[in-house]
Amino acid sequence: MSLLELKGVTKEYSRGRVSVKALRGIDLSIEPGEFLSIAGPSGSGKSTLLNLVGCLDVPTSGSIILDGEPLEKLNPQELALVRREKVGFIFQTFNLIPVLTAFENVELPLVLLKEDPKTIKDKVMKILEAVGIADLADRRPQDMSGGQQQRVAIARALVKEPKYVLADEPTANLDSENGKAVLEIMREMNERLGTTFIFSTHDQMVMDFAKRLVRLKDGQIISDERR
Amino acid sequence: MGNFKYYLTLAARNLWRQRRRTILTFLAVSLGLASFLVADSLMKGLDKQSIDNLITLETGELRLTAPGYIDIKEEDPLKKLLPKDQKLLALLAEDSEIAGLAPRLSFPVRVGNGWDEYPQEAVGIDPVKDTEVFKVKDYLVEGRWPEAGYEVLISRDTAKILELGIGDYLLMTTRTKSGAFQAVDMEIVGIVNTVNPNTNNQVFLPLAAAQEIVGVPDFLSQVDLRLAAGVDAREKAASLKEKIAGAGFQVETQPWQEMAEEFLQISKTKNAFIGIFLMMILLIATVGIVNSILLATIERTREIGVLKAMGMTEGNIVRLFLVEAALIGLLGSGAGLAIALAGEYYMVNVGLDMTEIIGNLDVGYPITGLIKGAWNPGTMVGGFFFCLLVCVLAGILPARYGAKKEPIEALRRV
Ligand SMILES: Nc1ncnc2c1ncn2[C@@H]1O[C@H](COP(=O)(O)OP(=O)(O)OP(=O)(O)O)[C@@H](O)[C@H]1O
Ligand SMILES: [Mg+2]
Repeated sequence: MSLLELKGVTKEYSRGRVSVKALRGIDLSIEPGEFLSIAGPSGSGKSTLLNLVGCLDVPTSGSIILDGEPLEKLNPQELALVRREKVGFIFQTFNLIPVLTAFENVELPLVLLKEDPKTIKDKVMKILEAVGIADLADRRPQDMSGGQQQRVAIARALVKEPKYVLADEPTANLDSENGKAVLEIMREMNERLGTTFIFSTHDQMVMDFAKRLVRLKDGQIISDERR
Repeated sequence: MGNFKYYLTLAARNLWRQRRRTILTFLAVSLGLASFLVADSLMKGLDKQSIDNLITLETGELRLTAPGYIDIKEEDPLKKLLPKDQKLLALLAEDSEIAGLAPRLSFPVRVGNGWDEYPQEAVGIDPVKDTEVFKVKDYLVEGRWPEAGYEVLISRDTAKILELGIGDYLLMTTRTKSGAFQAVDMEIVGIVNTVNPNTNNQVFLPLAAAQEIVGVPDFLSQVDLRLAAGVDAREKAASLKEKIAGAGFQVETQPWQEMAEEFLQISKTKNAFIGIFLMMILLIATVGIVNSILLATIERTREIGVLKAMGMTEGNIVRLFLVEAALIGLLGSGAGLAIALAGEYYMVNVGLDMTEIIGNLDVGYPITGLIKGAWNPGTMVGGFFFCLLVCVLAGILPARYGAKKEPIEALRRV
């Protein structure tokens, strides 16, 4: 069974009289363990697609099936619980909680899952080590570089061992060296833990990392290649 | 529980991040609560003092009169009198629950200096026993207490108006029990200025002289009682009446609460005033908290988006902001309580000198001069929790507003 299955998904934003068709009929299946990049020029609908897959928004028409369950049947509360249990997010601008330390930021998903403190501590330290910033556990985001912050964000996304991680242009705010390092960590996690990664980009270097590349243009898939 | 600790950490740090705003709200809440508590303490003190003054200068704790006296007092107080019976007085004196008894005879008079005259109430007192119940003597400002014969004690106000002093004669006119016109010259031996404005309209003379002037030897208007500590005036009024009836006398007993009815009415208006005060803190705290939380949700829109993406539900977000509101409420109420404790300590021990502010104005209270506060532990506890509750409730609306933000909209904002 596919992890995710998109069938004829469209998304239309309407702002007053103007309406924008951000996605025009997407059919896509994503299998567990994939390392997939969604590429395309600005405005092609990459973020829109990730938001839909991440249960942050609902499609205008069409259906998204996660683990065999259609998402359109769920209310906002239920969608929040799906995100809590199954989805990890990595953002372009890191989006760590500024008042919390690296440790506390990473801890958040586990706290929401009500895991016990001891398990939380073990899991957080383990993942911080895996992304190579265990020594920064007590630092606040403001005292970390962009690359370090994004590693914390990766750790936060992975700590609960989600079914899949969505990353919207995760390297766009990093220099190429840090960007590459972050991608390597992501791929390593994909290989080690089998976590599915879906990330968007318009950077060729990032596309080269992907094991599957889906290209979008004007809200439609124009190519889908595995390598 | 671990969950709650996490929320608490997050809330506390966020409050600290906006400490300037937090402190402002905190101050509003704490000063609001503190001023309410201190005002209430003063009101309670005022009440206590007023009642005290009423009892020790005017009514005593319990009054014995002839049956029906209360109803005719205003028109013709000499119509229904109490016999000055030694057996009755002995019965009262033996009662261990009675700490003092003061026989009195009062009637309306006009007092003058031969030119001007004013209506006043003449009060015949037992020069010795009266002080067992009343404290009028403590407020002598000049001269001495009337002891015997046609001696009279007048208030400083009366002395001023009539331009009379110690050693001068007060012309007192009245009607005897039989209705005959009676005019006597009374020697002014003392001038008194009490904190109960009502005594300003009274003149005090020895009981024997009073009885002679109105022609009722061996009769009294009333016997005023002071009760032993801890004796309830209402209960005693009932039991004493029965006891006296058992001894063959018909009397009416009136506890001070009944005599002070009018005053206690004023006390109720004052409670309304306290209510308004309470509404004011409610408003201040509400505005402070709503402002704090609303601004926080706006500033942290993006953060809300992130938290929602992590799987926080609307309920979780509401809870997060409510913890913040509760924290401010807790700190604010706590500090308010501390400030109130200090303020009340001052009010109870030092007090507020009102002479500067209102002079000796008759404001409907049997009180003038120094107002002292009274401790109000009940109001403190109630006020603390009320304030805390208001803060949390005030947080609900802005918290829900913040929690309703759509995650993608929240995340789009940079
Ligand atoms: N909330 C919205 N309201 C209105 N229009 C929107 C909204 N979000 C996206 N759009 C529009 O939908 C289209 C697709 O946007 P989307 O953000 O998905 O593109 P993208 O591929 O992520 O672009 P970028 O590379 O610039 O991030 C664009 O035309 C965009 O203007
Ligand atoms: Mg985008």
